[in-house]
Amino acid sequence: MKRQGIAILGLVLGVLCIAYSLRLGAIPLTWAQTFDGVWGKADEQTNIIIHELRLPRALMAALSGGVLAASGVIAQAILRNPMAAPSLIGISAGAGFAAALAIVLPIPFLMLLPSIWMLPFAAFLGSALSAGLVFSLARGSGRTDTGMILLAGLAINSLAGAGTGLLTFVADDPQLRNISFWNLGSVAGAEWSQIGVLLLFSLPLIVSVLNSGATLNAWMLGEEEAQLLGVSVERQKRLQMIAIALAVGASVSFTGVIGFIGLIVPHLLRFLIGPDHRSLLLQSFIWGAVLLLVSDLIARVIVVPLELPIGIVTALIGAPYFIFLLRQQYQRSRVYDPA
Amino acid sequence: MILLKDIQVQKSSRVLLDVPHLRLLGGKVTVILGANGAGKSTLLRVLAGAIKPDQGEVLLFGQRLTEWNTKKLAQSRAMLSQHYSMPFPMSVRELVAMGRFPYLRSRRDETMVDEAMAEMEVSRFAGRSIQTLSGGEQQRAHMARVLLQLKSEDEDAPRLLLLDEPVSSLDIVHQRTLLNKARDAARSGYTVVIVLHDINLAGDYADQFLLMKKGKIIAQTHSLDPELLGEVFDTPMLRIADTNHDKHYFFAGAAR
Repeated sequence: MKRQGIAILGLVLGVLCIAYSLRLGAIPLTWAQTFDGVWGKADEQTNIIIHELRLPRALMAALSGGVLAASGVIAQAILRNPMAAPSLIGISAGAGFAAALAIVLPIPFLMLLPSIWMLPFAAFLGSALSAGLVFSLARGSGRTDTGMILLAGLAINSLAGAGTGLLTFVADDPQLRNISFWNLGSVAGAEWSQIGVLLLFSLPLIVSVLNSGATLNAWMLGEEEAQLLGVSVERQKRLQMIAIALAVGASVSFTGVIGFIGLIVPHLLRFLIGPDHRSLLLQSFIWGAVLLLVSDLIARVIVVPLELPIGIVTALIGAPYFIFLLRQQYQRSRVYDPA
Repeated sequence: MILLKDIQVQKSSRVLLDVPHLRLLGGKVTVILGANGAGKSTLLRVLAGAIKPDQGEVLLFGQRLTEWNTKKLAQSRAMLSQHYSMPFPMSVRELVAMGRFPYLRSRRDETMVDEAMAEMEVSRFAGRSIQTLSGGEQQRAHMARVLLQLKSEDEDAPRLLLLDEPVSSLDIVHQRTLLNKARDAARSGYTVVIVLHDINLAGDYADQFLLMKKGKIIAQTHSLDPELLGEVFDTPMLRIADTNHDKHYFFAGAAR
């Protein structure tokens, strides 16, 4: 019953956050205007603000938050490592490097794309390439070694980080600003077409969120044990990692790097409802959405008329809260088994 | 019936297991005895299909192990391993419920989980994290999960139950509770294979023994004697008779 309560609370908070996201901003609206705007009954300017700016932005925040948090749960389960997050398997760093590359160097065929697609396209290529590289490094004799995924991810992360560093070294000032903003994340400027693409790339992940609970539970015993319980381990590993790479890759491409959601939300929910993946997956998706919506609200209202990059907000809330959680867990003597 | 033919398992050119022929029958408890590194666990894992032998084949109930569907196989054979690690604090109930993984969800699941926990006397830990239990309590919880994995509507379907040192952390009472369950399973038709280190405990439960040494089965026998055991463990063995109960016990060490 506690679990259902928490899920319902998450949904209510999510709707509330979306409502506030529509209302608050550079041009504050009244609730009446906001409500009319949603149905297209307000004045033209308000309609446009809500339909073309704030609604896609809120949905981008919700969807990205859900994707990052659910991917965190899956990565932690498959790699059997509580510290794992999608960023650990090289996806974000690869995207970051490719984005920086696209910002600094004029790449001919990318120039053909409309400007809102140029960076996302480059970033997605980067993330797909680095994720693919990590998996192929971890593959050998017909199986993928999860320990190697972590190590290869670490290596690719530093490599991509070094590449980005090199690019910032040659970049001019406006480019530098672009790169650093991209690496701090933002959901501003989201467009409906981007929501559509992100939704499409997130479909495998969403299917997995709804279906994989029992499989990931079995995975907690280890790969060999999961196999004994009837899990097709290699197939699942491949499918789940592809689902994560597609969804997180697409999300990172549109929003830039948003840290901590993939790590903190799964831990927060394990703390609240326990580690049973049959409910953890969906709840993480819901609460990841809520957390990123809240972060975006904070990012927009705290330094009006400017906006804080959302990655700073998630890290600012995330890191102290994470430490608090770990302390709590320690006192409850539910310390994670390092094995 | 389970049949092993020309099985070889190698690791970096060392032969871990070499079994030219082995046949195991349903309804019987087979106990594997042998020194550390004799290949007992390897044999069990080959039987389970957890590792593929480099050579040879395993026929499980008439079908090659490699041809079994993963889920169907999980309904027909289960294994209790020696060691488990758990990265997250799963509750005992959640752990035991994993035994239902190979089956379609059903309304009876909750009751079956309750029964399985009661059988292994872990019901009172149901809500506790597995990480906070003692080694023996964990072992019982895992045994409950493994037994639950083989419970299905079709009670006549053949089953293989593999237990790798299932009593290593248990107190003497629970050792017998667990082995009684294993024997009950055999009486209901399961093929049961257990690795044990306690020869005298093994004597109370085994219908037959497999004696292993350096990756080979050196004897498949119904009764033990000190000469054979001495050869298996490379140490002199003593047999002590308990004439009151018409039993005998084996101990390591030469007579003085």
